[in-house]
Amino acid sequence: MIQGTIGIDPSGGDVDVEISSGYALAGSYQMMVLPDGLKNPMEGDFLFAGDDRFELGPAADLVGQTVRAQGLIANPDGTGRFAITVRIYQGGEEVGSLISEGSMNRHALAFLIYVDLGEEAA
Amino acid sequence: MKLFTLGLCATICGFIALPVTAQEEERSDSLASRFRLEFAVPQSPAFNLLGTEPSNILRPGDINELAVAVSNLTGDGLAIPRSFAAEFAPALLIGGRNLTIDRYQARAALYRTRISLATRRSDDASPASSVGWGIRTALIDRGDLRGSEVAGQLLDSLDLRRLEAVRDSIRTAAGILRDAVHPIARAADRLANIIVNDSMGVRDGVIDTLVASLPEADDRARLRSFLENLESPGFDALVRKRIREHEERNWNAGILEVAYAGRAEAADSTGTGLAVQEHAFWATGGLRAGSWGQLLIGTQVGAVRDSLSGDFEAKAALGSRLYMGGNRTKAFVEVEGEFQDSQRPVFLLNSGAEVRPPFGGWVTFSLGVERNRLTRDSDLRTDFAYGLPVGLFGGS
Repeated sequence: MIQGTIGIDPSGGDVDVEISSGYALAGSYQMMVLPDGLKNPMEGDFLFAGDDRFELGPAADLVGQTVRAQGLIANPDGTGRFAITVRIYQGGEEVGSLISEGSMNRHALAFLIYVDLGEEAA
Repeated sequence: MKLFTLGLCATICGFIALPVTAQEEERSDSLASRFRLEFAVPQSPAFNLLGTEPSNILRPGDINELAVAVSNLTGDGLAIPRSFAAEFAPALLIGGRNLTIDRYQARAALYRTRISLATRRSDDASPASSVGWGIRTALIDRGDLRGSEVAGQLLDSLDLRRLEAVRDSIRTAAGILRDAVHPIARAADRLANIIVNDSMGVRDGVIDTLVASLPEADDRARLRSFLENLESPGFDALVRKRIREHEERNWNAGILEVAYAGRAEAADSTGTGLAVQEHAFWATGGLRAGSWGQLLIGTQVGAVRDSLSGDFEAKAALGSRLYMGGNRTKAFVEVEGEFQDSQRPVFLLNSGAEVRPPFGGWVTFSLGVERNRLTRDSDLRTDFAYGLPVGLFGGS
């Protein structure tokens, strides 16, 4: 489990979140904003849509909330390297990212990433 | 299996009909070992040209590891190391972290490209050093596990609802779904992931955290019992099964591989008189023959410097191998010819079988006839080898 804080400017532009799977690994993911977006998960596959980006909304509403990304990836080769990245954008510019990466010695791996959205003045 | 037996019998019968004038006689090892499958693209072209099989191959996982290795290598100046071997996929090293499947498929040949580097000192008494470099790629690989169809099949195994079911079970049992951002909710998430990933060492610590969150002793005991007996969803086994099914169906998929390697030699480790001694190019194509076979056709062309005249002499090998059977057990028949300037051609007719044992790797045994038109001799030759499995990216 990876967790960390990324600062956003409450008076800045709207916030987006993007998730991607590195090393061309296939998988599925689900993201949600806690606690407000608990019932509206963002879902997708890491298959021809690896850079899925979702609009989260105005920054002022998001400070203090948490983006939770979970999912499963398949490892089809012998090296087992994986990298799942969650990027936060504000006003179209990347303001930070968290990455869960390493090597897995199995064929499937569940990942979990928590991104706490903190307050950071521009 | 019938085809396997038929193929093996036909091949053995073919050999009986051939005139064998000498058996088990002294044969040049260099000829025999170098000759076999000269046309096949080697896994590591640089090692192949140096005639070495290094036991310690550097396979950097990212660009930083490669930089550190190169830094260590040049730490004592620019001397040629006594023994060095490295293999890596440069495009994966540079862009692997952010490489999505669509990007991979758009430039698959680039991402399948591997570079091999090696050095070798001939022996302790001589300071002469050899340097080898090579590059290989698969321009076409219809068996690539990152193909859209296969990736889609892998996705079928990764049903997120099963992960959610585990998480829900834990949360329900713990009665902690009061506040999703509460630290205990994160502990439940973490435990669900640990159960899915089967990391038992960490699992116990997280169970303790969850159990300790309950005020009543009876509740704590019930929760501990529940969590400790929670079954893993078994994603690993499902994905492994999909990969095996893919391998069974696609062991003979179409492929086109190409490679180049070069070899240079120097009088000493400082690189005195460093000169290129050999170039080699390989190309091998594989065609699917129904569900039971694969036809490989390959060539190697190159140039080797003559030690006396100093001039390069051209050489070429052309060959074909027909596989019959299945992914785990297959028979093969191959013909191969080797041609070199100022030498008479040498031909090989060979057959054998490859078996994949349950513990991994490959066992290969073969029986063949080698025909040297210069000496007009035919040698019976046998071969038995065990090869370790090689990953798709070989260490990327």
